[in-house]
Amino acid sequence: MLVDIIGIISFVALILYILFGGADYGAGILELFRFHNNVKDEQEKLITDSMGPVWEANHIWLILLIVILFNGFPLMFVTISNALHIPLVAILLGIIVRGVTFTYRHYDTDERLNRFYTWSFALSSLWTSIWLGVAVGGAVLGRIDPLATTAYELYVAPWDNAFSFAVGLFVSCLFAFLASAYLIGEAETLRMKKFFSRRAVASNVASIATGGLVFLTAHWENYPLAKEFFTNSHSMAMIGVATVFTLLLVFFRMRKTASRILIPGIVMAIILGFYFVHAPAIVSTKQGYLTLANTAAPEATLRQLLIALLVGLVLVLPSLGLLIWIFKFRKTATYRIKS
Amino acid sequence: MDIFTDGLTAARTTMGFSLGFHIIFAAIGMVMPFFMATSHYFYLKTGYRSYLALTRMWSKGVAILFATGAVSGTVLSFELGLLWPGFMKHAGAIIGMPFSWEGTAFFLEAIAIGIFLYGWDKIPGWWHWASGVMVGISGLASGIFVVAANSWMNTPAGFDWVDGVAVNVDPIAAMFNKHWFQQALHMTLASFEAVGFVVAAIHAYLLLRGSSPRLNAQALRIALTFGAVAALLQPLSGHLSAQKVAENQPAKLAAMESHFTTQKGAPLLIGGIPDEETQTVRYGIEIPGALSFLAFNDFQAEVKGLDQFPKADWPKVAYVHFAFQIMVGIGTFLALVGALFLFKTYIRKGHWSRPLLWLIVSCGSLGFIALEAGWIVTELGRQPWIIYGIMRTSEAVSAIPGLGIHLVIFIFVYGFVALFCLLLLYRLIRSYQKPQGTPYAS
Repeated sequence: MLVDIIGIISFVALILYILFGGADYGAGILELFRFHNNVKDEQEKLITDSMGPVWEANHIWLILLIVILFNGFPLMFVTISNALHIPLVAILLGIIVRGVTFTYRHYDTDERLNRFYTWSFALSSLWTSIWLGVAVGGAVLGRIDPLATTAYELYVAPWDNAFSFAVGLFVSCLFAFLASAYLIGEAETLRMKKFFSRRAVASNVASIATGGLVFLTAHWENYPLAKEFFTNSHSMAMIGVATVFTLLLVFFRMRKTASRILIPGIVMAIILGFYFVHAPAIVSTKQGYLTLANTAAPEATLRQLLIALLVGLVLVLPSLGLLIWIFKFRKTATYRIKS
Repeated sequence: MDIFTDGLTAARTTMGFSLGFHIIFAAIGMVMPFFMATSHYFYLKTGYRSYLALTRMWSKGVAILFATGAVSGTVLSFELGLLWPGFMKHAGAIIGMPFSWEGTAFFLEAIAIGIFLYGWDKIPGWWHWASGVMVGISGLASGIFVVAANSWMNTPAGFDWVDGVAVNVDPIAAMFNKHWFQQALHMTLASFEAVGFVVAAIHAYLLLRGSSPRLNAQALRIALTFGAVAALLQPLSGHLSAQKVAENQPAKLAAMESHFTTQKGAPLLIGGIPDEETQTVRYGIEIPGALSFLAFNDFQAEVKGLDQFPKADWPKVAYVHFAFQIMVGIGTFLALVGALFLFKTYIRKGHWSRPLLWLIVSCGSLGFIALEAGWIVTELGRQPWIIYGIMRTSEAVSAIPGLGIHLVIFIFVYGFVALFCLLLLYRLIRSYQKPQGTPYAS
């Protein structure tokens, strides 16, 4: 029971991290693909202005997930930390670089340094999302083996395969797709709206292609993902939702509300689709599946964790709502700064 | 080199380096928002533009340093598992509670900082001010929770250790372990002291150079008032901590004092070079009975020496001893400087003399050196244990080869981050200075 409630909260936190944090990654990735120099500065400014206020908050979901994992499910945390040590270090390096360059770019006025920050931010966004995907791929593929005897089997084999990197590419495309949705709504000029809607189409096509690659590489790596996916009625329903939303998107992608419901809707449907295939397992090892239930901490710990989470959410969610309301919905009555 | 052949050394160095780096930003994140909010308060009260400029300048500094601290903190939360899986497997369930509260506090801090930084013309004055205060309060709270988790490693509580497994886990007892209050208090004061003195030093230097005298004088006054009060309270808090350490971690106290032989009426050692082999100290000054008094409020009390412990359970005596001496020495000196500043500013109410300003400038980094030295005492003094008396650090370390490479990469990346951060802060401060032509005269 406790495990279930904590599981639901974690799942919501994960979804929020993917939708908000993922859009931040995607914005960085989109900055890599700027063939039109005339929109470059406008794009950069839009991204900085719209992401700035929520930037730090978007990334706390990840810390929350890590804390839930090591407090409530220490065995899973330790298994992942060991087997995916290298991808996790790669993720951390990416997080450092993009976290500081995004903020430094905002405050630094030097043009040459700014170009350096922009490139670092864009590249590290792509780098981090790929490695996030690699870690996820490695966690579900089933090559984790805590009882192995060689360093390669213990620390490299779990993620050193085509499937994990295909997931990495797929995740990056999804993030870029999310970012386009978000930026269509933020853009103030028709030109920028069109620009980002072209990006949305491109990243959508790329997501479908890399999604196909995920199934293909799973087949190569003897992981019957396609079979499990297409025989699971819930997953198929999610595919249906994603397809319908994608079709609707073709017609309504320039509308702010539509793009902001449809695109995150598609991404959520995809995540849920995979979730239904894999649940209740979170991590697959050679010795079997790790689920929340079989790695849970003692009940006293879970009870305290749940209390902390509930109190935390009661404090955090209204504050987060306030933040978003101030910057996104409130018609600004500009307050003069008295002098 | 050791770090490439010995995983334990590499892991310990990596953890020490990551923590030492993060602590600087964490301390600033805990304290600077209060400076910023104070200046903001004076602006809202008086309407002086210089307070507005100061608030804005400091808030940009907070933003830059917060962003850096947020990522170095994320790194640490992962490194617990990456470097110390043996520790986290057992400790995660026991001390996760302060971490989950810390997560909440940090989340609120991140939201409040978003509102404060971007809310200048979007929310009314006093509400805006309140969001700045929230940044400080939640930052302080998150610092206290994390220190509570650390103090559990020094005075483990809230579980029974049966055959290498923790049973009867009680997360509340673990969080409120014997050292949590003393450590949290000492760290909070240390942060105010370190940040107060370094910020004061920057503005004292700018005052001496004669740029924007009003802004820099206001800045100096706010920063060093916080710093000096903290510096005066810190010896009391240090005394409380030392008594707790004497009670609960006698080996650590013995190492701090290079106290090799158990004796009654133990002397307090000032300076000196300890030699672990011969168990002697050269060149130290001894104050008879003072250690017994400081540790147990009794000049004749018996203080356990390192001879009470098997040599395998000793921390590295020399490192702990030197770090402790540095911390106490700097702490004493800064308390004196702080007292002088408070006297000149609030009792004499006169101008600061140029020598006083130079003195403040020269104290600039001392607070942070003391803070880092204090953490070296805490952490190295706990060795060879990762959970004091329960689990050795060597049992907790990851078995992955190549941790030395991990360390080198992080030193390299953090080095670059520090460089760009300093460069940015330098430019930020400079952009707020208007040269007046006339250097500050007392």
